[in-house]
Amino acid sequence: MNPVSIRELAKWYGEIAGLNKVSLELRPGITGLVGPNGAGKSTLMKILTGQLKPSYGEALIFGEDVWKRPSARHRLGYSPEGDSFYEDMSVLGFVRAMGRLCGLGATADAFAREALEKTGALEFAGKRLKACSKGMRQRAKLAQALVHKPDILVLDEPLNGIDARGRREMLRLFDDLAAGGVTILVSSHILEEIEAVTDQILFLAQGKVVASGPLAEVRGLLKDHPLKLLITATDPRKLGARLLESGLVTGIVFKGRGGLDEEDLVLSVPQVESFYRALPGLVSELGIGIERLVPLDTSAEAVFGYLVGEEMRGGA
Amino acid sequence: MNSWLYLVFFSLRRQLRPRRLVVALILFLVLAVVVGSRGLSDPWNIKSFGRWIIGLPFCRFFLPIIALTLGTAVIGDDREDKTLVYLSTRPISRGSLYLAKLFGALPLALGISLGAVFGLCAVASVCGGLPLPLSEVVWMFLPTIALGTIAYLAFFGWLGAVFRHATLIGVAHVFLVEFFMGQVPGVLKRISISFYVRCMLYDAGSGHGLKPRNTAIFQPVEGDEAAASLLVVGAGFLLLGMYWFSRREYRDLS
Repeated sequence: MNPVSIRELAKWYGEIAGLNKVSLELRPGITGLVGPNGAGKSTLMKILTGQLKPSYGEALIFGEDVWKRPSARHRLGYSPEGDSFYEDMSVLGFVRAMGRLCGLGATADAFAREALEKTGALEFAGKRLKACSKGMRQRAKLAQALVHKPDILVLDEPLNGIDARGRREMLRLFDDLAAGGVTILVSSHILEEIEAVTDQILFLAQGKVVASGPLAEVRGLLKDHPLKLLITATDPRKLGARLLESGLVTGIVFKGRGGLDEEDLVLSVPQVESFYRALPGLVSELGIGIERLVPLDTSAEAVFGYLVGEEMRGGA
Repeated sequence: MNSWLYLVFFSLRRQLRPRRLVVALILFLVLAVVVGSRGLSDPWNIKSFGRWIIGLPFCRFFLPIIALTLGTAVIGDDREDKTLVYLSTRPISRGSLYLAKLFGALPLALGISLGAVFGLCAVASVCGGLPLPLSEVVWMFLPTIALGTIAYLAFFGWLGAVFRHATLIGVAHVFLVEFFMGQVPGVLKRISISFYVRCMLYDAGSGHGLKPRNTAIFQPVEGDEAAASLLVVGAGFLLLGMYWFSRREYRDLS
């Protein structure tokens, strides 16, 4: 049984669809949730954490409907996007209280300290939340989600306000948790941030999942947007001619590097996997060397731009 | 169960905000000054004290205002502070969550209202020479105030779960329904909680001549009936609040 199963989930706000028949399964590991404002990310996360009731379909946590069965939330930790807290409480007091509300009882203090240590917040555990910086508050928020050691973590923009060093620590923590079998759904509007955390990405637009899976695979699905690859080769013109002849590329742009005969090739590759399979044979056949091979637009930002464009065209 | 009990305790602690207690203290001191100054010049008896202090400003103003302050904050504080998200994502059902939060406010509401009654009776005894021992006077009013507090708190708790700006609506209710409508002849006043509180009060003090100024206009119900009505109102609004809160989606949680 997958930790998270979402079946035909729809949420209507009056006549506006927040989510439109979304179905997906989440397995242990990290999954990124990407989409522009209004795409339905927050709605999906709120339904998944039992804050909103689906208009149609169901959200299951280990087979239990999270809206109907509050006990399912024992296995769920949630870090909301908003920066709201019980301001008068200390960081430790807050995390401990949230642990007790999850049924931890007398062990809540030890669990809270452990969660604070994991998130790097133990050093300011005694500080009142209202006196904490944004980064400290973000860590406290993450610690309250972790305190009861849930199997599923839903994190809404968890890296907002955390400095570069802190981000690296957080990313390492996510990796460790995922390696330990935790299922993590993390959203962010900064796409590079998601890429740094995982290559399993859910692209959401207009309430629908427009693509999901590893970023490179999603990129491969885009027929109308061939992958742009930059190649630095010992004989670029010979290689370019052969690639065009083979039909592996649909376009080539020569890009000067300043020196005489020093050119890079920017290739438009429609079938990425076929290209990667055929390239070593071609290079060997021509007897030329490849110095550099760089995909130019596999970034989530580029993929997302294409996907939203595709979705718009599909809907038109 | 442990987490539910903890939530009751957690809610009680959250209710102990100094500003709220200061409001109660100020209202109490104003009443205490009135009771003391009048008592020094013109001694109190049960009838006058019950009617002009407990029946009028206390039951129709002090009690609803305190219950309003605490009751609307049961859900309202967390909505306003956007902290409801931390509670609603815990493994506690929405209905239980509401119940725990209301139970968290109840000891404080009872403590303030019963403490204030005790204080006013003490001031009236010391400064106004009430003719009965203090404990007897307090016990006379205690059940009325306790049931009134429960009914008011449940009503305002429900109001806070339903409306975002429940305090404003609650203040309007206190002045229009509890205070002014209580003066209206006929049965219309029976929709106010203060009517049943006063009926209980008059019943409790009837042996000492405490009764409405004009029984034909006030048309009181029996004390037992009033007590039962207050219990029904309290339990009814509690259940209504639990039902409402468990069905309602709060999109402004965080």
